[in-house]
Amino acid sequence: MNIAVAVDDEVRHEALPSASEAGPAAKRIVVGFGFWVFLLSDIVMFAAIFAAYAGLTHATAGGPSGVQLFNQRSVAIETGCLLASSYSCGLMSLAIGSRRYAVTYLAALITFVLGAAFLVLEVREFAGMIAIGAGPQRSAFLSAFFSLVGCHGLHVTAGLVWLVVMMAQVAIKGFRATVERRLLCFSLFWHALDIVWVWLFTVVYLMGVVS
Amino acid sequence: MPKSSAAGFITAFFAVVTGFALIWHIWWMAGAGAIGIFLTMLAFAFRNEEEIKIPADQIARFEQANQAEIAV
Repeated sequence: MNIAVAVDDEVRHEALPSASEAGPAAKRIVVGFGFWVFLLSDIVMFAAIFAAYAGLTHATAGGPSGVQLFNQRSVAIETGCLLASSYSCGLMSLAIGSRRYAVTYLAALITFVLGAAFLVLEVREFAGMIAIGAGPQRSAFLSAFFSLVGCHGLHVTAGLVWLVVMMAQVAIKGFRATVERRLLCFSLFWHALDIVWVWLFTVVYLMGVVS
Repeated sequence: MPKSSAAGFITAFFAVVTGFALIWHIWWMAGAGAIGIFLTMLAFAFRNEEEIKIPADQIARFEQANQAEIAV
């Protein structure tokens, strides 16, 4: 994330032309802005699914509710994995900034393994719920639950595929400008997923058990 | 200028295949379409030339030719 706000201290302010004369912004800025627009549209989608979930929490149709289904321990481990993977993703950004291949691969590997561990735990949770007859077709509450958590899980899956592709690009193309910009976008994506999970964890798992 | 690419068209083709297959529950075809989209994007991501440069004098010549036409 820190490479997104790199400021050149050498540039003196009086030497800078006014905004209208400076010409188009640097490509990294334009790409970053475009990716933020995508992320915000993604967050709008999540907000809609969150609203649906919040409205349907008690529509259990006589089926099991969140209190009976959620395993706090498994969710705590999932959260730990995802937060730690965000940290290693930050380390990867630093390694890319200092052009260190080995550290980049290592941080990417840690990020991938933690992300994959998160997914395995989530899929096992889903499989366990479906096995006891609490699948998405059981009640409106469960439909909303599987949509919301499943949508986040799909994003994590896509992120893992993207990470593998990016490491292949680093290996084949090296740290060229295009690859660096994509890695910046990946880092933004991964941190955004983490933020969504923090909301999800709070709204679904914590509030679901309290009420 | 961004270089011309067929990636958008090919992705759209595979998206139609995937959409059709999902509607009619033809799972193998949906999988094939999704793999097609992914491979197209992969090929696009690994392209080596992303941009073309149009020299300023070429644009100047084009502009002058067009203005001449309008003037006539």
